[in-house]
Amino acid sequence: MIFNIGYLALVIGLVVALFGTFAGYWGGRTRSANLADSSFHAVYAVGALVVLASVILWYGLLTDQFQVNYVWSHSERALSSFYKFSAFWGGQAGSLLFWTLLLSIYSVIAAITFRKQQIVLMPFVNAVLLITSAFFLALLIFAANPFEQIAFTPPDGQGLNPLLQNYWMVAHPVMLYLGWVGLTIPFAFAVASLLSKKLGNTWVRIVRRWTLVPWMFLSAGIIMGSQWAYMELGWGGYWAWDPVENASFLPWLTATAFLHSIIIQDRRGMLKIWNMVLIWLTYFLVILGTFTTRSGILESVHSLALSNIGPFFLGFLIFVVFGFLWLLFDRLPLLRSENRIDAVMSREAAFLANNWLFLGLAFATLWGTFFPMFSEIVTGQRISVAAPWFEKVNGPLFLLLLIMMGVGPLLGWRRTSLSQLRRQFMWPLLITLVSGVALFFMSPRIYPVVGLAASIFVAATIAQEFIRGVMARRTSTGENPALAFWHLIRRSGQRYGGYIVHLAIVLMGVAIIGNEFYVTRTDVTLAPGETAVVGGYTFVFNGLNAEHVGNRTEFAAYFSVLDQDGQKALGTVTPRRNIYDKTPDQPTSEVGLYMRPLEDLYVVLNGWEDGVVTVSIFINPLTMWLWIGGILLILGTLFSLWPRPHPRSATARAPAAPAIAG
Amino acid sequence: MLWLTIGVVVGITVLVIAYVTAPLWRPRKPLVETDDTPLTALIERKDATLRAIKEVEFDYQMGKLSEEDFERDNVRLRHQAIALIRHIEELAPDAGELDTQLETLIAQQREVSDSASGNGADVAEAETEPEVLLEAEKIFCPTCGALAAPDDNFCATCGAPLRKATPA
Repeated sequence: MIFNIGYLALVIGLVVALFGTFAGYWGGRTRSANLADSSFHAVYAVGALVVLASVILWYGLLTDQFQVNYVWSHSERALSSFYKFSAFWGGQAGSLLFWTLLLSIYSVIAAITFRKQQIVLMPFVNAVLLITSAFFLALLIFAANPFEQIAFTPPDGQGLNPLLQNYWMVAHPVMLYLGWVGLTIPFAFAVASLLSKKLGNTWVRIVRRWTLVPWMFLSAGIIMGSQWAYMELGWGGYWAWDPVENASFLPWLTATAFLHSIIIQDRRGMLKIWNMVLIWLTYFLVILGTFTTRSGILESVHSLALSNIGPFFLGFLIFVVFGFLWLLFDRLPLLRSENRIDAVMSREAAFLANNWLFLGLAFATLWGTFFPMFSEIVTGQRISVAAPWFEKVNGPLFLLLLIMMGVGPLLGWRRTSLSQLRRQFMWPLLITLVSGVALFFMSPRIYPVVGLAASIFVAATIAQEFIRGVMARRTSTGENPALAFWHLIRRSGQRYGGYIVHLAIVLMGVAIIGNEFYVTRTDVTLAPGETAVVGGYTFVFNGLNAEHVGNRTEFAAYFSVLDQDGQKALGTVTPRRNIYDKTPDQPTSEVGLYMRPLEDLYVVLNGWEDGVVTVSIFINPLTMWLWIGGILLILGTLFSLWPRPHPRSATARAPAAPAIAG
Repeated sequence: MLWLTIGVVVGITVLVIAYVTAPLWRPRKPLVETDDTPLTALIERKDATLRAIKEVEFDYQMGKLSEEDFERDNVRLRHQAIALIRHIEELAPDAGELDTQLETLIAQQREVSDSASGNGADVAEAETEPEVLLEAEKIFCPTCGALAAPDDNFCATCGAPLRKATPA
């Protein structure tokens, strides 16, 4: 009974969402407050109905209601409550409901936040958000019903995919979805400003925060996904250019480009059409990404099932493309630029170059991701482009982007004179040159050295920005360096938070270069008590142990790590394999990891016989900096988001109120 | 059991329909654009200009702008800000706080002009000096603050009529 209610809640939700879309659109067009209010009520009602449906599905999962097909196929009695809870987004129908749930929550928050402030935009915003909700509700109702029931109640479920029984895999999809779904909000504002013809810079200023927050979640989601791949898949790496990884990366690229180019629109009134296109591409890629991950149209380890949701997605994507392009062309005359780019050596030009690079990366990645599908359609054969193709094409683009990241912030708006250029670039270039030559002597390989030198260049420019910023504050306020530093990131958070994010990207770049060029892998077979010397470390195998835990058997191989001579003990590594009771043919790997600042010792248990184990020992240089960079990236984004003290604006706004009333 | 389900669903449906359509039965009301008055738009533009001034100053202190570029941008932006604040004053005369802001800005403006003429002793910078002085006679768009020629009727940037600014 309760599950029928869940399903019908979704049906009512769909009807309300469709009505709310109409009410918002028509209310905005005819400037009717009644219809506009109705669209707000529709947003809240859809939110409540989706929450109700979600609570019902969670209830089914947590209380083992195996007569529900979704619960039966994605859970089991022996699963811990934690994973029963996360099984909500472990399968197709559930993760689509989760999408809808997050979208409803975001929509309600946006509606409450801007109801009084953006009276003309909001009805249209509601319409865009509700039509997206309506699409997902239609999917849930007609193509992927999470409340579908079986005629009898099976005694136990089939269990959750073992790969998903990992805490990173619980957090990773949540972060990713928070990012993806959240990017609907800036798109909704963009479309609303097109529909309402309020095409000033207001929407851009509103959405900066609402793009940064999802962007931060998306970044965190991607990093967590890498962490999961690194720890669980056991092939030595963290990123394989798998179509599903690309699906999360594509909107990240366009959203990052968008975050940069809205600065120019805010500051100089330029790139208005471009920004519209970027946020539309982002939204398109989010829907496309959900489609590719959920439909199995592109084969990959993640695509859990082929299903009948494909035609729905295709229809909606076509609607998004043509609907938006029509709207954009119709409003084109209203999107004139207020300024031109004055000189090549200006920050605007640097921003534009950065945008082109991001877009180039996005197109290359998109092409590589969909190439197997195209080749299948055209030639009947599925030809995959593998990781080396992506690395060859995207590597140089990333390098250019890295260099632009150092150059751009040092240029002034409008133009930068030669003497200014000299003053800005002398020190960073000098440091880069010296360290580049030193690096080349240490490792005479051109590509990694160029990459590392570029990283050093960017780091030097960022350091220079901080030092000069602190000095400038000191001369004007006389603060001590620490206080000046604090005020710098507090008062100019947007800029200095951005620099912290840049620094995080540099750290991640360094880690990627290390892993791309300097990884070593050694396979060894050891009996208990035997040792192997790999990469300057001595590995002592102490024995294998098997233990049944919950719904699986864990096989653990214990190693001690000593220095080269086997004198000084450094630590232990314990690679494991888990064999799940329900799916013994899908063992999962837990790598044994010993992290050091300069390199990771990464040990994978490949097999065992009579206590003798075969392991792969990877020495992964600098990997730790990928995760440190990830944390720094979040931190920098938070600084950038933090509202800065703005007393002048607050007092200036105050007199506006009585004037309106009068 | 079936009847209970139907009852619950019908109950939810009625509640939702009543809630969503409730605003439609109220007396008709147009959307009032509290967020879109010329005044709020002007204040927003003024805030953006003040931010831009701060940024230009900061860029100059950081050595990203030459003195010449800084002065030109600074003068242009300050003129914009002054034009915008004057216009806000016209629309909302009781905005007392703005007075002091305007005073400060004009005072700072004088300092900048003074220092510009002080530094402009050598031949290279002599060119910029008359421009700074001339700009005081030029007019600025009351809507967007862009610079306009004195005999223009409409703003070349945003298309707003320029003559409206003169007090009636």
